[in-house]
Amino acid sequence: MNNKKLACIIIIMLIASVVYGTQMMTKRTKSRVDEAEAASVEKISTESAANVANITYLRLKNDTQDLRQFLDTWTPVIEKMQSSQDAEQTVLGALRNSGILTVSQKFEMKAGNGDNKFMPKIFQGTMIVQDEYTKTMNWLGELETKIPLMRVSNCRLKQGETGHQVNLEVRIDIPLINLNAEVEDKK
Amino acid sequence: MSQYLCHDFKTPRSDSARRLPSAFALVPVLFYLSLIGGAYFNFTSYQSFSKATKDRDTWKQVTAQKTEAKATIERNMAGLMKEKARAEKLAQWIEGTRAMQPITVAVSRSLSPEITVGQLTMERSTELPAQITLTMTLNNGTVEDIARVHQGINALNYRPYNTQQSKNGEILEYHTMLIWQQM
Repeated sequence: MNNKKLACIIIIMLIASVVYGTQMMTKRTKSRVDEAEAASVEKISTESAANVANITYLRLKNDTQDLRQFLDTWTPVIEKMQSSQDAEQTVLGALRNSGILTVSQKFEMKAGNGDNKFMPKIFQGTMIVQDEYTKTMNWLGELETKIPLMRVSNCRLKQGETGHQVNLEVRIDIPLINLNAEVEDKK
Repeated sequence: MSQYLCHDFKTPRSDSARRLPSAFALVPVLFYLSLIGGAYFNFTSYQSFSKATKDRDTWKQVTAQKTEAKATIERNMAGLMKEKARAEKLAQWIEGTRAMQPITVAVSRSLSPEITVGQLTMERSTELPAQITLTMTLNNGTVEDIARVHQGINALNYRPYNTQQSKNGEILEYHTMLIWQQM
């Protein structure tokens, strides 16, 4: 092989190197452009999902406004009744203030229904009072107004020992509500 | 100095190596073309590469921001759902807390003075706390009295349902289910 041939081969190799380098660069660029396009598609998809989530959130916020307002309105009432002592004191206070004759009273704590974390405990009371009809009714009305969360589950009115008296047996349930409970929406 | 002159340089000599084919004259041309072409393509590729890299990073950043925003929205939504569930549970309870005293008073006021109430019992349903079972025994009670009791109960937005009454001598036994009517 003479020098001219050698020079030619070297030049051809240089040309091949330049072509190879250019090809590699083009390939790399194409790969990066593909990555950018994939990122663009992902961006559009994520933007769309975020917009849908935002619309759903705003709709839900609007739809639940009344319910949340309802909960906000009741929150101070619930916060006042957080323990059995609170409930018992309120009931006994209503009994004392009315000056009604209490025949018997019994209070106990009961577990809430099943896995109800929102109302884990229920304060249950059974009271028998005996007094004039008006006084007894006023007491019952005052008790129901004073403890709006209270549910009268049973109420039995009958004649008292004397003609002017009535005997009233009332069973009440007062829930002790945990406002921070993790309540799942089953719908 | 030598006496012999050397004229060898003037005599034609054959090539020390054979000439390359004339097509090989294109090799330098191809070399320059490859340099120019390579420079052009590499330059444009580099520009595209830089732009694609910048775009990819920007879009990935935007994607990350949107993903975070979506996660925040979903967290807020979960909070709203929990608040809604709490409110619904409270509303279910409150449904069963309607006062019983007005019903007792309405029933008593509906009855004429000559009638005495032997017993009046109201029991709230455990399954449907908004429903109340009313049972009472009236001494000297009549059907007209029951009609007045119904009027009084209706005025409180309760509807008597499945009413039963039986008269045993002077004692009238009355049993009904009170269902709250939405305004």
